[in-house]
Amino acid sequence: MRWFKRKSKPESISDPEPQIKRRIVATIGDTGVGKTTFLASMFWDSVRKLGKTLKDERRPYFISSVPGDKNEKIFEVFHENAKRLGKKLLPVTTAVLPGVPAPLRFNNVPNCHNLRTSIDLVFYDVSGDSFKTHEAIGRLAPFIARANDFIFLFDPTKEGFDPFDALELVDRIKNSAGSGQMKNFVVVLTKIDELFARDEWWKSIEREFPEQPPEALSPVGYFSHQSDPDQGAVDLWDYLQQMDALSKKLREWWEADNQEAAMVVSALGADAPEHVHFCAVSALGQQPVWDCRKCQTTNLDTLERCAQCHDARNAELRLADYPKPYRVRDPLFWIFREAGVM
Amino acid sequence: MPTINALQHLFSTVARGYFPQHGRGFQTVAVAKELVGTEDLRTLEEASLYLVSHERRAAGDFPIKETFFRLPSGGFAIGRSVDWGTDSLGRAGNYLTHHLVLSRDDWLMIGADPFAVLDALPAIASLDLTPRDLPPLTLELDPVHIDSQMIVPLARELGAASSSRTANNGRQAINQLLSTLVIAAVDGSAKTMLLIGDEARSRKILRALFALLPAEERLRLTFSTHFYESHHLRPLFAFAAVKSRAEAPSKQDEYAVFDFDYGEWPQLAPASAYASWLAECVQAERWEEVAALNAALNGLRSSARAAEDDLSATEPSDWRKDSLPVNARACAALWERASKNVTRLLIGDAQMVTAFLRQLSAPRPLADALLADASPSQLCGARATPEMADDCLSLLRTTATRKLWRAWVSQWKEDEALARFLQNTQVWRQFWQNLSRR
Repeated sequence: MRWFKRKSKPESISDPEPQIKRRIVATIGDTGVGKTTFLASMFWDSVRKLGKTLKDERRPYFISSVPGDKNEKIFEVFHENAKRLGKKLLPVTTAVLPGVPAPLRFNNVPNCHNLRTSIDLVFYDVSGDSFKTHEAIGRLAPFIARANDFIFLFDPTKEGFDPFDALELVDRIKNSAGSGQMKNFVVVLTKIDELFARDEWWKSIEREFPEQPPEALSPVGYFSHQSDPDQGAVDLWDYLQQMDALSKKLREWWEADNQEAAMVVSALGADAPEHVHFCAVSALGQQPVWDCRKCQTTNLDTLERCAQCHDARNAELRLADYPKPYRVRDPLFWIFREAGVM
Repeated sequence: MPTINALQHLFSTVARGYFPQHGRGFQTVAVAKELVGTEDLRTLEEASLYLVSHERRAAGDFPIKETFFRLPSGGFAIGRSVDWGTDSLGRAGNYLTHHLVLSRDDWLMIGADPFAVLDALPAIASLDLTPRDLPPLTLELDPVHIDSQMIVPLARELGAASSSRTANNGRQAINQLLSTLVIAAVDGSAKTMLLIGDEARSRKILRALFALLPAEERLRLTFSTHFYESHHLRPLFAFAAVKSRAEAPSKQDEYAVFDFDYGEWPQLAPASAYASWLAECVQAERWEEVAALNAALNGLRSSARAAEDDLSATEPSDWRKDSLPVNARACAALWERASKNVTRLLIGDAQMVTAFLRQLSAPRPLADALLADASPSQLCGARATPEMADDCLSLLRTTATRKLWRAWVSQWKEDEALARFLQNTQVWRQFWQNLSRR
C-alpha cells in the first residue's frame, strides 16, 4: 500500500507535434467538365513542379498518404490517373458510385514568412451524375454536408454554356451543404487554353498571368535550384498577389452583362463574399486529339466534328503531347490560404 | 421448352438518354414503359455498375459481369454488363448493361434458372442504343440439370488452379466445397459469400449450385459474377465473385470468403434438414437423388400454387414417384420444404406412407396431415396388398395424435380398408387378452 501520492510525470519539454489541419474538399461539376483530369493534373503539378520550386532541404514540400487513414482510393484518383497522363492518356470516366474519400497529406506547405505547415485534404472524386438531383447528392455525395472547400468546375468552352445551369447546380449544392462552419468556394473555369486563342481579352489573361510555378526555397535551395528555363518561376508572395488579381478579373468577366452569372456569385457568397474565389486553369494545356480505331485516323480538328464523323465507341481521346497544366495549383492554393497554412 | 416475355432495361453513358433532362453521363438509355418511375428502375440503374481495375484495363482483360438480384417490387432481374469502349467524350471506362426483369411467378414458372435466361440473351453488340421505350423480349429457354458431367470438369479446373487443398484432393475437394456452398445457399447468411478466384470458374460453380437447388431456393441465390468496387451493392447479392484478393472489398468481415486460389473457405454446419440432406448428396455424388427430390418438390409447390390460384394442378413431366428417395434425410428434407403438400405425394401409396412415417424422426405432423387429407382406402391406394394397408394404418395409429385417429376412425368406420384393419386388430387384441388371462 502506498502512503504517499506518486508524483505526476513531468511534461515533455520538447514541442509537441502540431495538430495537422484536416479539410474536406468537394470537386463539383457536370459530366465531362474535367473533375477527374483536374485532380490528376493537380497531383502531377504538385509532384513534378512544386516539389522542385517549393524545395527546402530540411522541410521539403511533398505529398504523401495520411498515416493511419484508409488510402486505397488515392492510388486510383491520383496515382493511376496521373500515370495515365504521363502515358498521354486521359483518365478513365468516373462511374456512378458513392463517394469514397481520397485523403492526401501536403507536407511542409510554405507561407510568405518562410514558415512551413502540413495539412490533410480529403478529396472526393465522384461522377457528375452525383450532382444532378438532391436525391443523388444525398445518396452518392453525402460528403457535401461536411465539406469545407467546394471547387466548382465550369467549362466556358462548352457550346451552350448556360449560367442558369450553373446557378441551378450551385443552388443544389448550397442546399445540401447546410449551414454552420464557414465554407470556401472556388469557381474554376476549366480548359482555359482553348479560350486563349479566342479573343484579345483572354490572350491578355495568358500574358498577365503566365504559367509560372511559385518559388519558396530555403537559402541553400536558392543557390542550388535551377528554374525551368521555359517557364521560369515567381516568388510565392508575387504568385499569391497574382491569384488575387486574376480572381478579381475573372469575377468581373463572369458577372459582366450576365445577370444569371452574377446571381451564381451572389448565391455562393451570400454569407461571406470574401470566401468566393475565381481561377482559370487548364489541366492539360492542350486540346486532346481523337484516335479512331475503326478507320485508324487521328483527327486534330475540333472534338465536335470528330465525334460526329466517328462512332464514339471506337474513337478514343489521347494527348498529342505530355500535359502542360496552366495554373492548375491555384484552387489548391486557395484552399491552403483559406486554411491558413499558406 | 418454356418461353418468357421479359421487361428490358439498357444503361450506358451517352450524350442523351431516355430522360433528356439528365443530360450527358451514365443513365438509362432505353427501358420498358412499365419500369419508368419505379423503385425497380433505380435499383436496376445502381446495379448496372461495371468497373475494371487499372491493371486489368491496361492488360485488356475485360470480364463479362452477370447478375441476378431481387427488385423492390418482388420481381427479379438478370443483367449482363460489358466494357463499351469510350464514352461520347472519348474517355475510356464506358460500359453497357442489359437487364431483363421478370415477376417472381414467372421465374418460378421457368424453374428460376437465371443462367438459362442469360444463355438465351441476344448478343449485347446487337443492341440498339437509341433512347426509346423497349418492348418485352421473348426468349425460349433451355434449363440446366445437374449431373456428374457438370462436376467432373469443374473439379479438374479447381484442382489445377489451386496449389494446396483442392489440388491434393481434386474431386473430393470440389464436392466438399460445393456442399459448403450448398449449405450457405440453402440456410442463408447475413454475410455475402465472396468467391475469390477466376471469375469464369466462379460462374461455373454458381451454375452448378443453381442446378442443385429447387426453384424457390434458387431465388435466394442472387449473385454478381464481377464485384469489383461494388461493396455498396452488397445487400443485392448473396454471392459475389472477384478475380483476386486485390479486387476483394476491404470490409471483409461482412463477407464469408471462399478463396479458391488458396483453397480456403469456412466450414459451415447445416441448420436445416434440406441443407443437411443436400450436402450429404453432393459429397456422395448422388445426383439422381437430388434431381428426383427437387423435381418432386418443384412439382408439389407448383401444384400448390396452382391450387391457390384456382388453376388445374399440373405435375411436371420429370416427376417420377418411383425414383423419389426414401432415406431418413431425404424424407426429413422433403417434409421440411413442402410440409403438408407432401401428403399429395404419398396418398395412394401405402408403402411410401409407411416408409416416410418410419424415416421421419417426428412423424406426428405428417400422420395428422394424412388423416386430414384422405380416407383409409384413398390413403392406401387400390394397388396395396392387405398386409401393406395394415402396416400403413398400424403405423398411422401409433404416430398420429390419438384424438385425431379416433375421430378419423369414427368418420371412416364404413371404409373397407379400415374395417379390415380394425377387424384384424380386434382378433389380435382378443388373442393377447386371452393369452394374458391364462
